[in-house]
Amino acid sequence: MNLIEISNLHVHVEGKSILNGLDLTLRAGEVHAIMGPNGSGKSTLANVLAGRPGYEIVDGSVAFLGQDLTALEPDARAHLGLFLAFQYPVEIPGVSNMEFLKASLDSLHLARGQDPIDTVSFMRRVRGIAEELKLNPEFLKRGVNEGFSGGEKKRNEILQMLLLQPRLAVLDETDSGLDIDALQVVAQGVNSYRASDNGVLMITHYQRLLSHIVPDVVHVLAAGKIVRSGGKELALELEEKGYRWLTA
Amino acid sequence: MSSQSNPDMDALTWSAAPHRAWLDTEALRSRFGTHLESGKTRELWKYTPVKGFVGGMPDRGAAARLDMVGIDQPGVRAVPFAEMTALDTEQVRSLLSNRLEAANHLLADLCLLRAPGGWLIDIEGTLEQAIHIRYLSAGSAPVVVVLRQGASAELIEQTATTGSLAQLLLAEVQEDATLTHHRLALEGDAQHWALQQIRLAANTNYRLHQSLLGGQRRRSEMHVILDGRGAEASLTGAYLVESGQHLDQQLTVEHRAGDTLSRQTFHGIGCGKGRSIFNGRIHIHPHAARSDAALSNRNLALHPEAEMNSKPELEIYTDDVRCAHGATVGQLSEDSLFYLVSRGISPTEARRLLSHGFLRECLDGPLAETAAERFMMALG
Repeated sequence: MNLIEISNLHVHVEGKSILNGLDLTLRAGEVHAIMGPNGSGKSTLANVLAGRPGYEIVDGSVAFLGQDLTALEPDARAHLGLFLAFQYPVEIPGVSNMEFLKASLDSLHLARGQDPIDTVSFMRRVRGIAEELKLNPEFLKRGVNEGFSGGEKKRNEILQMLLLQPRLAVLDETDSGLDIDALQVVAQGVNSYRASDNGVLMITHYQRLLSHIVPDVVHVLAAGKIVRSGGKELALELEEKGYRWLTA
Repeated sequence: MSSQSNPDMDALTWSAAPHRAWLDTEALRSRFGTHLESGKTRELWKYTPVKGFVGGMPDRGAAARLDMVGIDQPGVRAVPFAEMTALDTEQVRSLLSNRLEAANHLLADLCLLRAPGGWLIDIEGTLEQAIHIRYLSAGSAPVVVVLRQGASAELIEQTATTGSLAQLLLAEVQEDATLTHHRLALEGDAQHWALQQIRLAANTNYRLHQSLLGGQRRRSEMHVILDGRGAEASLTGAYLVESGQHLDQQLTVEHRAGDTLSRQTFHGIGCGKGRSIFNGRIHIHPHAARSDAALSNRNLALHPEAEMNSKPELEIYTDDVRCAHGATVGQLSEDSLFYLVSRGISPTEARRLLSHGFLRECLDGPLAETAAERFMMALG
């Protein structure tokens, strides 16, 4: 089944055209990578899927699990099972990670008509995931991302993904700013999340992430549209030749 | 002198208070009258008009009823003015006369002129238990706290009255002493006038955690004097103003000695048609080289008619200092809001979490949860 189906998507940001007819279909169980030069529209795609204000869809459609995603508020998109791992996760001092994670999970349960998880089970679950990602559980008491290193912020994004178990996880340059050890930890987290009923859309600059999280499809985004799609070997080819041969 | 015909002054008929015997009340009256008429006073009382404010003060001769816990532990002497020894009297007289002299402290003068008594709390050594003062009724309440050399204490002050309360706290922190001070005033319909003056001698450490809710009229003046080399002060406060409330905070930190450090972080929210005033003043004297001062005051106006005033004032008379000053009035961060709603949290809940978190950054200590609960109630 199709998790997400993007057709002819045109997006303006501050009146400027950024996406120009993007098509992409991702089926359950698949991992897709989107690569492309700076300014090609990769992060715009991530933000427009999550519903960040300021992105104007001027044409095209996005169906997520058969629903018109663009008609939904950002929180409703999360309720449906969409997740964005932010490129630059914000710091929110004063709101503890624990409080934030519990509120997130509770909101999903509430929207789906499920009972909220009790605090003890919640803590056990979060601690388990934190351990998997080599995050000190003490971080739960601190403010959201407060004083975190770049790597810790990215691991916290993956922790949220593993906790919230979305149907589609969009990872916006989750590999940037990670050292090789952290990259492996993050990759293990993503690989443990992969299942036949969910999917991952990875936005990345570098091939190195793709040797840890092996994609089914690699897309090249240039000037706001997909100019080439292929298997994982396309990433290696890009690594070798750069983007110019595709965008010239 | 026009003070004789001033209706505010006429309301100041002197009562038979014990401190009348040793405090020069005529000088006090005269000083009060002079200050009342001055242009500086009009500026300091711009938002809480001084004209007629005496009328809102506690009745002459009314003592605020205090509940004090922790005053019978070793190292503490709590003595009413009427029962002080000659030595105590001389010390308190000197503190009240001299310490308050230079500053324009109308509230202190008025509180002393109207109070039928007061308290001296004399602290020696390291206290095991906090001293917890609750102000239970309307009235005037001068309290003089002396932390002797090397002493260490935690002082909690909490209001529990909506009647007109005039609070004067004068703390004398002697060399090498440490004072942790918690203040809580959360009655939304209060008439509250507070003046706190803290003097810090060399190598002292003072920490303030303060939580204030706006009142019918609430004015809180905090005057911290770093008076000895190596003195350090860290002041944090959270406040919130609801519809119809008024909160006027005047903060002054004076670096009178070199190698002194002050940190001030205050966060406030206006969540209704109310008015908040925050004047934060840092004064670094000419001989206070290597002073290090930083003040941050951030305000969120969460209601279109919330009036949040923030005025920073710097007076620096020496070059060899570090001083940072920031004052903002704004809205919740769009990026933070989006981060939360992208996780499924509703926009209403996200705003509540963020605004509460904004205040919680400045909450600490044993009363933090009490304050957090009250603020949470206001934020819905």
